[in-house]
Amino acid sequence: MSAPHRDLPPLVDYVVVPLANLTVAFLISGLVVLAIGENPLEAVAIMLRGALGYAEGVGFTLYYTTGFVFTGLSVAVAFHAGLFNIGAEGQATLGGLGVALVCLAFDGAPWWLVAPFAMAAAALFGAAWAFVPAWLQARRGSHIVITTIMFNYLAATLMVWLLVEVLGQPGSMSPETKTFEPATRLPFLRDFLTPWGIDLGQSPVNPMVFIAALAAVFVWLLVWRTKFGFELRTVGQNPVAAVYAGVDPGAVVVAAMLISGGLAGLMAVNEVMGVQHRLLLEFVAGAGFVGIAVALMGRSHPFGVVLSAALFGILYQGGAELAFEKPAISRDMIVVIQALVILFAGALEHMFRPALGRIFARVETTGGGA
Amino acid sequence: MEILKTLYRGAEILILDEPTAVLTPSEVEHLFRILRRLQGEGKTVVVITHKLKEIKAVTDAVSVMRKGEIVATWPTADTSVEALAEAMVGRRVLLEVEKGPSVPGAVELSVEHLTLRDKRGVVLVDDVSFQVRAGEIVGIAGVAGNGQSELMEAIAGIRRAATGTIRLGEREITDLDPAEIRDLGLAHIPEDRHRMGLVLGFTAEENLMLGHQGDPRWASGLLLDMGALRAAAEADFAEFDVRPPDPTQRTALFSGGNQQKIIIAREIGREPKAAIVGQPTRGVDIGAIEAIHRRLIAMRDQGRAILLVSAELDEIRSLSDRILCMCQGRITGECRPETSEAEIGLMMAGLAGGRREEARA
Repeated sequence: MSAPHRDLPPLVDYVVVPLANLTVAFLISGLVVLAIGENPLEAVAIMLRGALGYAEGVGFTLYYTTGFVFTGLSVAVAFHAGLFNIGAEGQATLGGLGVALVCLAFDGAPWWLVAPFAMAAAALFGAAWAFVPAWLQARRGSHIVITTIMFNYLAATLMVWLLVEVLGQPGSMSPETKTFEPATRLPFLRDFLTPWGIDLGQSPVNPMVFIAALAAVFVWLLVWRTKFGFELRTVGQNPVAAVYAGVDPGAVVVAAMLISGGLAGLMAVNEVMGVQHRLLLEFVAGAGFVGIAVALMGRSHPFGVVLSAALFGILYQGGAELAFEKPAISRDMIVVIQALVILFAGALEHMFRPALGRIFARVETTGGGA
Repeated sequence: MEILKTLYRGAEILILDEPTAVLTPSEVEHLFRILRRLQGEGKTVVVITHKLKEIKAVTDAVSVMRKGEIVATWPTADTSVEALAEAMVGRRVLLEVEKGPSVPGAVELSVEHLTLRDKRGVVLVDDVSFQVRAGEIVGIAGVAGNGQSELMEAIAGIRRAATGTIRLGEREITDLDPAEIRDLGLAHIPEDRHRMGLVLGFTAEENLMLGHQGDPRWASGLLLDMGALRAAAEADFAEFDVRPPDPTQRTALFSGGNQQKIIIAREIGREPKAAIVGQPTRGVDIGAIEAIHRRLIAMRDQGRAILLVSAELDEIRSLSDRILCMCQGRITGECRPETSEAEIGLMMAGLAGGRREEARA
């Protein structure tokens, strides 16, 4: 075959192409910053310093990253089965319900005892919320994009009802559960690190950051090193070949969505048990949707998901600092950058690919001739 | 139709890419008569084909392309089919498959009164019965779209039968799913390798596992044994001469012939009892065709039962021990491979053989 049709080297495919997309997204964001009369270079400096320049900032960045890793992995697993799970937001919301029920049931018990049950409940509730759209897709052909979006709204409404009518505290006007006892809360990493001279300040990063790393390894093993992962990818890439290979695509669709929903649900442990210490409305705060951008940019590879989750962690933490220091730039700027990243990393993913392919084909031919 | 449209627009140069793929033999002859007439009217006709007989039949001059270059250009009259094949492959090829007489054994695959319907209830395969014995190749001839594909899918368990039974050996497999049927020893080389036989985005070794993802050689533990898969893939690549010899390359990057070899290595390298083989050499270069044909004959000689479906009548005639003709979902005749092309062509059109009277009625 002729050169331009060869595969790109993995380094180019997984690093250079996303970087090129990202660069363009940032250049355009820079133009937006210019348009509102601020210096984009100064803005970038403030963001980087705010996110990575001091220990407390790093702590906040890691805390945001943890949530995005879970939702990013959730979307990525579904992608491998050819499914676009828009419902990580709602699945994480339900995961929070699971966490809160466990924490309230064992309120006062030590956190290390409660945490495994809280995680199991989070995954279970998230998976259950993903099950109905999955089943409808697998057996009735209802499009999963539509049903998962609707289930996000259902989750939000259900949560309002539960927190106002069922789980809310008597006599309180705010729709939230009672706060968990201190012993039941996940500890902050800052409490462990202060004796070592590392001051994480008020940052809420907690042990879930390690669980997120483990989840990334788990997803990699699951997708590329198990029979189920093989069947999952077969269904995602060629459902006809999957049937030929003796795989029931419907069963795989349901299983993939259960895993996806479970991963989204785990995000809630970080938030509810680790930071808020109670169940409240909209605690997911868009992390489910950021997960879509994270998975797109990370090209659904767990390592890429971790990297792009870190990038969004930096954007969120740095963006908060930026909004604080430059009142002209609001936090909505981050939403603009996020949208541009989705646009370039997702929708326009193939814009630079052919050009880069030609460049590398040429480099290789001249290199081979020399 | 396409050809008519071009003529209507008054084209001076007509380029045809594999024009005969969907035509019956008599339609092919008709097409060639039209091409001759166009030539007489002073038009230029370029035919791209891999069927050497067509080149001899209809062209005045022939160029052979290999790996993107024209390696030879001759007046057609001065060449032989053998010389053309040699130029295409770069070495001498055996065009006629050498095969001894078949030694049929027990019935391995039997289909009785099989009827298939699509979702709207339209009959696709109509009361078809036949048997394939161990050590014989039964060919199904027919113009594409007359129920052969659906018949193969039903045998493989992908499509449900409306009525009738399918047996593999003694065992009834009518209602089993594809995985169970494969485990019982049926190999299936699908007609369309891109749509069904391969996942093009996978590496070659992953495709060697497709349908065998539960094989204890690599799936005995919790995680797949990638080392065992690599070793098996390298052995398959060597045995079936897949090029380039790199099982980690993405499958889409292999040529059609080598993709087909990957499927054949996967399906018949595992010693099945019986095989259903669809269009084994469609879009495959002539060197690989030779290798694939030899494999199928060798498999027959080892006592396997093979059902062959192909749109290439030459392929059916040179490989099969018995030929069934199919038209509009029915078996319209059975004949020996020595039967003339014209007679098989009539059966393919449903106009001859045992059911001639019915077809006219």
